[in-house]
Amino acid sequence: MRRIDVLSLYTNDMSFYGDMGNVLVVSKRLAFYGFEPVVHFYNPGDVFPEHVDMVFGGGGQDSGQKNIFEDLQKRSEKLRELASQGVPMLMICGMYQLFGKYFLTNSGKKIPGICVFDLYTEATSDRLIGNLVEESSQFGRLVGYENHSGQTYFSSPLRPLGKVISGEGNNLKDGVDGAVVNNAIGTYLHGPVLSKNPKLADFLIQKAQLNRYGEELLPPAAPILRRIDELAGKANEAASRRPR
Amino acid sequence: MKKRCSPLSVAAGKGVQGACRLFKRGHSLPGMVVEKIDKGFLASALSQLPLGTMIVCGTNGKTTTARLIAQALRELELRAVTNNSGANFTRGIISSLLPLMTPSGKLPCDIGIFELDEAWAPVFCRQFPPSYALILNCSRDQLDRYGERDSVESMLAQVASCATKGLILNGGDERVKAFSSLAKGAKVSFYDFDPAISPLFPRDEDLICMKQGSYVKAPDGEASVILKRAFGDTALFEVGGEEFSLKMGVEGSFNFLNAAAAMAAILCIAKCCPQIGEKGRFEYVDMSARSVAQAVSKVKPAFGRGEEFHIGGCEVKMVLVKNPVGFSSALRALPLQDKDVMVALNDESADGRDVSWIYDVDYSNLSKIKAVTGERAFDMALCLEYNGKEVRRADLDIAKSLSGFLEGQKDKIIFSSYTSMLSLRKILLEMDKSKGGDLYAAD
Repeated sequence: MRRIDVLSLYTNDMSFYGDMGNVLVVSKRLAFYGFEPVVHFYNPGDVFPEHVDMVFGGGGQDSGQKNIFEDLQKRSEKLRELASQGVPMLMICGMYQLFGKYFLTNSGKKIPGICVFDLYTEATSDRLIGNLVEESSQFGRLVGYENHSGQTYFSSPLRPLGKVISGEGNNLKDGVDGAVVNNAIGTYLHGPVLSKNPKLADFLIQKAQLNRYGEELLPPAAPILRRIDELAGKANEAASRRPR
Repeated sequence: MKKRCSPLSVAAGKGVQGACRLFKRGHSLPGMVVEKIDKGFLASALSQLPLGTMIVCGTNGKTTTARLIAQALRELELRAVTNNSGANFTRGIISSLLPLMTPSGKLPCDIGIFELDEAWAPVFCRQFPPSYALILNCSRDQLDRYGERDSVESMLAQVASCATKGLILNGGDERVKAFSSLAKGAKVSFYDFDPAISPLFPRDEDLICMKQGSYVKAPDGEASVILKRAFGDTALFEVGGEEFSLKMGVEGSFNFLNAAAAMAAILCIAKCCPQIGEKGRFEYVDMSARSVAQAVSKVKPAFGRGEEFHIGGCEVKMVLVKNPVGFSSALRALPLQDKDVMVALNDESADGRDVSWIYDVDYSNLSKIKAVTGERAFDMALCLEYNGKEVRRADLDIAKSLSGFLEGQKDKIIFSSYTSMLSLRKILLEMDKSKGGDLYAAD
């Protein structure tokens, strides 16, 4: 069976808002497409896996970010290298921020990021909380939930993941959410985002397959996936109609 | 110290309460009116309680535990007053005191047991420092309201530091256990569970670790009450060094741990109140380990928290679930074999608008799910399917789903978020002839 190695970054500290669900969704979908998903959970001090096809990171509390940022610095070169090779990545909220250049805390301290995305985040006193709906030219309507006090700004012109339809996204000014560089995607969408937005999940899987096995098209899926995607469509529809 | 409340305010409050009952309106409106016309009302009322007040706080189990304590105290022949679940803060508490007050403004009660949510509790405790604070646990819940669990932890810490006589803490939750250093002159006591049964009490970290293939064991504690074992409807407790095996009125190991909390809380009151056993009103109150344990074991569940309905020859059980730890504990503790299962998920602000947390629940004890409903039914069904659990029907319409779900002769169990529980319960009460349609029957 064709194997795909999935890396889940700092799950102990950075999966406080359900984002580990993205790893569940992608590994189940990999299996439905006939791959053998092998998930590596990486926490500070662990051995970094030898081969990585996909990388996931989630949101955590401020204290969680503090616990991991030193270890993240040790892995920054490796992760930047993987990103530049086109390894598909999905970074949510706190990890999205740390994949930028820095996070400026309320006390004026700069927590360094690893510069996969040319953007920075500033702590603010108002927390952006609520349902978030956005439109992406590539993935259609994306829905999820945002919950962050940091506001993120691009340092150079980047492609956002989506244009915000309702909610805030990166910050209170720009009307966009997330960033896409190569095959690395950052976003404030919890939900977990892949559950109700399966096109995004399949994009990541497709890129992983292309990188490792040189094939563009995904193989036919198990019949259950149709049922699941039908549910995902209904869940997306229902969620997009809920109040903020 | 003891101050009567103004008869005028009592009359106004009782009047509004009568009108509310007539029009089936809000629980806390009478309290709001009284508060407006008489700012000192609550302070005078609480100052009349000879054994003081206790605040029950924490993420999971507040309602059940406050009920366990109050009912057990009544069994021990103390007059305990409580607030209705959800009737939080000063106005909710005033509303619950009003019906018990005499027209002259006396409150003929011995002690007040009040549950308060994490946001209101510190505000309340600063205004009215409680004699006792019982803190049950601290896990992630309603992050859309609180932002982070760390901020909830600091709110609970404030409550702990306000207790004047006794502070009762869960020794099995390291965040709560650490509050012992905050006690300012209050006696600290712990309750705990035996490490051998720690898998029944997962914490946020355990759920995350388990999904990665490892599991963190709970630490030992120095406790006045220890839940040692749980078998079916029977629990083995060690209370003040003595062991008691008791058939419990509440179900599930998480509720047995709430019972341990209640026992520890009552023993703490006994320790801190020299009046008990002395000549006078409390001369014959028996607060020995045995009678406390037995009194707690007899209490039945609070409404919607394991409450049972009897419909068409089947038993239908309602279990409130609202966060990863609560839902996972319920799935581990309750017998599900041969039962039809329904899950209802709403996302009103009382439920939490963000439903991402359902992906952190451990569903391994579930097999088939007959029905999924609520405003976020499709999110729930999708999550269950991704967890390898087959969902037979998912429908946004709660009434329609329930009527389909109730078909068939199997006993049934419903796991529901808060507001969907209220809707489901209303229908179930109408169908269960034995409860006589009273919305607050079990309260």
